[in-house]
Amino acid sequence: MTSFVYKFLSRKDLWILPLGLFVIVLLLPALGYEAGFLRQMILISIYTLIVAGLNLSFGFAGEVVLGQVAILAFGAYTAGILSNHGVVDLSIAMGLSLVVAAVVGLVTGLPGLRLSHMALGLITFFLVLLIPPLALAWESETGGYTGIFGLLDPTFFGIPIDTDGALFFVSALCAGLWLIIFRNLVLSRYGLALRLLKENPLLASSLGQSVRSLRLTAYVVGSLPAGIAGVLFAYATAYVAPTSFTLQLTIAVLAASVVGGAQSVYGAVVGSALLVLGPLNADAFEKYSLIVYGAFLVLVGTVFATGLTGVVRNGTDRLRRALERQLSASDPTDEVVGSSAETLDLTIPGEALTVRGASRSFGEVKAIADVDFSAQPGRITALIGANGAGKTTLLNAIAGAITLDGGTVELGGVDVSSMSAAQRARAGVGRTFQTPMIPASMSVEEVAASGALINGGLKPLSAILRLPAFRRQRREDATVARDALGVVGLLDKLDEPASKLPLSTRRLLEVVRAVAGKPKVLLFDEPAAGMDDDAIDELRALLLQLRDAGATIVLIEHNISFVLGIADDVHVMELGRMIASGTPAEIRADEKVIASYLGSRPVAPAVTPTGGGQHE
Amino acid sequence: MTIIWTGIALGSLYAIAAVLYNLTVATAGIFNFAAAQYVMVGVFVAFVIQGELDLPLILAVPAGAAIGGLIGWLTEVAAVRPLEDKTGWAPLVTTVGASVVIEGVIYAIWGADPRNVDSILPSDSLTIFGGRLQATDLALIVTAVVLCTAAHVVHSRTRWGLMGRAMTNAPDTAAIRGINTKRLVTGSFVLAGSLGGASGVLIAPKTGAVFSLGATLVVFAFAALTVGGFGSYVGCLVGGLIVGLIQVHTERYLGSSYPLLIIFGTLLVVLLIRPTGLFGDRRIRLV
Amino acid sequence: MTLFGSPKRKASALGLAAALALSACGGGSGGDTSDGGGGDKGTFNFVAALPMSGPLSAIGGQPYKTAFETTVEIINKDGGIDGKKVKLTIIDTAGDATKAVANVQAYLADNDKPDAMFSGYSFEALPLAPLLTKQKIPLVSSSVTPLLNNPDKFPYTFQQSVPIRTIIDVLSDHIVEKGHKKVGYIAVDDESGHVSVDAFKKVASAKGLTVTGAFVKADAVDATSTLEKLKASKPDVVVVSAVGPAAAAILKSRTEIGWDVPTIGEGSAFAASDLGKISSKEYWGNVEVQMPNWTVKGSDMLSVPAFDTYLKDYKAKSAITTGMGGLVCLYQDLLTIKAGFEATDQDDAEGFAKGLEGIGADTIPDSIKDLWVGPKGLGYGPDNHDNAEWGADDFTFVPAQALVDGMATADGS
Repeated sequence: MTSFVYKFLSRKDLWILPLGLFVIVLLLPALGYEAGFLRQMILISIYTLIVAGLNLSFGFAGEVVLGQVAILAFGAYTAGILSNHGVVDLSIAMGLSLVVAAVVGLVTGLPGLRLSHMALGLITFFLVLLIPPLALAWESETGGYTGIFGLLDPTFFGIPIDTDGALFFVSALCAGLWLIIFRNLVLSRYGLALRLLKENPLLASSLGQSVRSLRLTAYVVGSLPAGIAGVLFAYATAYVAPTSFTLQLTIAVLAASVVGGAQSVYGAVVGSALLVLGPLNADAFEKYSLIVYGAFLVLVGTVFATGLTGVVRNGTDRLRRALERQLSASDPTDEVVGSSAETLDLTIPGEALTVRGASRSFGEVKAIADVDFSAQPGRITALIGANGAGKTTLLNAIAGAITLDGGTVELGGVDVSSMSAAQRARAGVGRTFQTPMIPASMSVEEVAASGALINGGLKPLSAILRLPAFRRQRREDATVARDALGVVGLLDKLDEPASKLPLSTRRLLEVVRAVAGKPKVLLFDEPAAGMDDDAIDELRALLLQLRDAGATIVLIEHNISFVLGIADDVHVMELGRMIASGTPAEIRADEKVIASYLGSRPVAPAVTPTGGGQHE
Repeated sequence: MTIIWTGIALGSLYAIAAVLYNLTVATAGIFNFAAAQYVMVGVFVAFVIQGELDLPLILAVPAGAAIGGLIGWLTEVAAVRPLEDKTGWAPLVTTVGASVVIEGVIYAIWGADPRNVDSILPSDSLTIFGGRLQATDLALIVTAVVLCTAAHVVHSRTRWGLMGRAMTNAPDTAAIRGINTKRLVTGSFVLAGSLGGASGVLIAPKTGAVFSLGATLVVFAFAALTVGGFGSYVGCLVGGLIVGLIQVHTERYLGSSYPLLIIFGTLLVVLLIRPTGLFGDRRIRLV
Repeated sequence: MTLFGSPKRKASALGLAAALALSACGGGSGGDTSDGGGGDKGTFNFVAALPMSGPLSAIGGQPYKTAFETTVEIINKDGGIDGKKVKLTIIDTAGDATKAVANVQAYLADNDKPDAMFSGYSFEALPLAPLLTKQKIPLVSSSVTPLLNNPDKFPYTFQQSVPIRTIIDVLSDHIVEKGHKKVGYIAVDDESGHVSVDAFKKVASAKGLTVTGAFVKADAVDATSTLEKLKASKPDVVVVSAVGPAAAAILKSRTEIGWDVPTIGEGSAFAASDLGKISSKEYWGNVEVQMPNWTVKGSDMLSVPAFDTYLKDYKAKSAITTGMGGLVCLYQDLLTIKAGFEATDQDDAEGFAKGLEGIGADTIPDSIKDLWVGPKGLGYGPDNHDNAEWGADDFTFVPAQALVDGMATADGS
């Protein structure tokens, strides 16, 4: 029994469950449900569409655009105005409202390219307040405050939709199809890229993703379902007026998203159902309905801050892992996957990196001044120096995270100075960060697979349709990820939430991610910081293995004994200038370096085979 | 000139509400949606004292401060304290919930009709610089200026403000340095509630006691706060005045349908030029 | 604006509430039914869509529910409609068009077809009318939107309230009579406000008046800038068409800017507000209100025994907390339904419509004559579904005053 449950929970094809449920839901009208119930279901479908859009842009991409209700209004007005002109086919209205929604979503999201999340979020939160003046300004078509009424009996591809059951069928169909699209989209390279963006735009660009186009597509794609919902809303209420689109509706949508779990696909349904069946029916409390509704928001907001689906997911994960422990204890031969590090045939053809005359100032401070630097394939090139010496600035300049005031960066003889960070990542610059950036929502395997994003496109359409090309790519990415994880022995943790791993494992994982795409140069920013000795040994082994595989490695590190023990070439920086370059032995002996850096801080006793580290 | 005075008086009202929002933003990094409701509560306290209990209106100051402070404290205890992650969007949902509850309670008791409250100041109109305004309006303007200035001084010069700034910038470090972050958060809610409640005595004669006042104020107070810049009390005052003046001039010359459009347009322009607002603290990030 | 119900919605809600006062009638609550007792010939199902919850409930919810309950009892005592006992069912609209449509559609799908329905506010009645027309359900509305008076489109929809055009007509005559030439017209920025301004401009220009329109938000706390705008056009009289906070703000700002221009509260919206509650005496100087006589104590319209009975029965259930106009209007609405159904033998929507259309000018049919409180006839016709019987005699211009028992007095004493 336990083993059955375990196997069931571990299955990858659990999507069959929601799909089956969807088919059953579609059949509800045929089962003779009451119209009152079907009306609620129509509303749930409409909410689901809106919330799903919000979940994509807000939950997955981390872009706080809350203008969904305004877009709903645009969709509804599209349907209403078409109907005024005699066009009552839902498919035409939906097609047009998709275009309208995309445009509105893009325009309202644009400030997000510049504004902080908070500012964008709060501005779009109040966006719906602009619907009435807009409707009034175009009164001839919108009917001004009176609105457009009498939206009855539409058709859908020519088929009359004249009962609640039929309208419900269309609504549920739209919501269900969108959820499938949504699911396929987030469980794809595109979804990975969005989650990288949410964690940090720097991270997304370091993996070859254009932050700008990711954001813009998130605004557009997140708006589309609200446009469809608007058409359904117009016909469900038979009426479109500015008074229908309220701040309250915005709040309800946000609450549904938070309650269901913003970063989930099916959470949209759960949250919508809860809101529609619960507090939005608080009318029964008559004049106390406001109190009941408010109390509900406080309650669910505090209890389910991570979202209901988050609660459920954590629960099943815990159950699965508990079962896993139980099973492996009772049957030691039933080892799921090997956990020891393997040595694979690994080649990472590196290229030479050359920096000439790099300068960059922040205000009055010259972070780096006229720095020359180079790193060769098959060698570990270390960059050391006190805090504030300009090491990370140089690294960022190489990766394209900051632009240089002067100087050039060449990779394999090609000048990449004018490329953006994303372009450089695609040209073969891989990196890690001082503070590990591991998206909270990703599994270990996904983190590793996201490293493969620097090669090939996101191909969202292919992902939505699950085309053979998508499946091929997914297999390739999985192989890349597993190969890379195999090197550090993380194969037994494939499905674990990566952000829950200990710091040293997360640092290793970052290295794995940077390596997965086999970039031409690898930039590691203090990978050993905060690691214990065992982990450092593991890191050392990994770095040496990468070096032997042919990689060009640049390493910033404060652990002097570690870095001098492993590096082939060492560069020392001080106050933005390069003060010494040479082999570890030369550097150890360099008077200037001893005086300015090595001498100034105690160095941990050597534990490395090459010894060293006793520099006073 | 009358219209300018009107705009300044209205802007002062927005500035006071913006200060209530800024208190928790600058101290605890939380956008407390319910803050404007404290003003609404204060206004009803004034109405009850004068209209139902027939007591001198001045009693609404201590009563409003006490009741407002209590409600501020309740907001924090019920809607914020239970949250593990106070920086996400969950606080927006829960404080909206608190806001709706406060509004709902007032509505259930007094309904939707507005109630008139007479000012304790003489109701004659004054003429200053060729424009007319009421003594109440003048008091409101003075209060807004004093409040914003005082808050600015406290925030930038005193230990309390220093702790608040330390906390919004780096809550973990602040906690390590021995700052009682919990008490600071609670304190900011209670203070916002008290100030809002006490200000009812000045605001009630202008707005009347109506349950939807908080919801009206939140939009303009938010606009004021954003234009002025999150974290800055000087910003609250300047932002409030800008929003108030834009509103009355739009109403005067374009019509009452358009102030929100113009205000949000201005907001966007300000933010695109200065993403932190005019006086904003760039380190404050709610999200 | 309010969180629960957008700024706009409340705006129009309150504005309409105003409209209601005069015209308005409202009332009941979700799924609540008061059975008039089993009749010999079955029951007459009367369904009223009322905002029992939401920001309008204090005005159009419970008080209007009580009004309908009182009316149903009176009618049933008198033999019901077509000999059938009236059964009242109330559907909650929450003051929200979307919910009104959803709840009514759900009710219709799951219950027997009602014999007649009521909807008070135009933002609810407008979306409901096409729906009910399609299902051939008679609708009587107390709203005043000209859009519902459209017998081609809505053959079974009638409005029983003071038609907005009558209000405007009487008002503009009054202004001309007083010798004013330039009118500043200030209304709430919502649906009913815009309808009111547009209608007034049309009528007034035909009578040689120049009109400047201006709007205030329904939740305005200060109307100074809008009044300044109006003042710049130098009107010699100002008409105010607003209720609630907006009405209070306009009167207050008018006093504050020291503008002692003659001011008239328009007969639909403004007349619905009880100034005693929302405003203060010092702001009422030189303000008069166009009161429909159903809100004027001792007027001819209210000096009938039927009104005394209604008032007594109503007070036995509840205190009067809203303008009398709305309560009388609801009473009229149900009587109008009775008159329509009893005018022909045909027992459906078409029969009802034919019946009402055929009653003819200046006539109150015998079936309701003894119960009637209102204008002197049910003036409907095939081309007109507003009660055209309202005229100058049915209004009194009274000084601004607080209402007592929901009623004003002619001299403000």
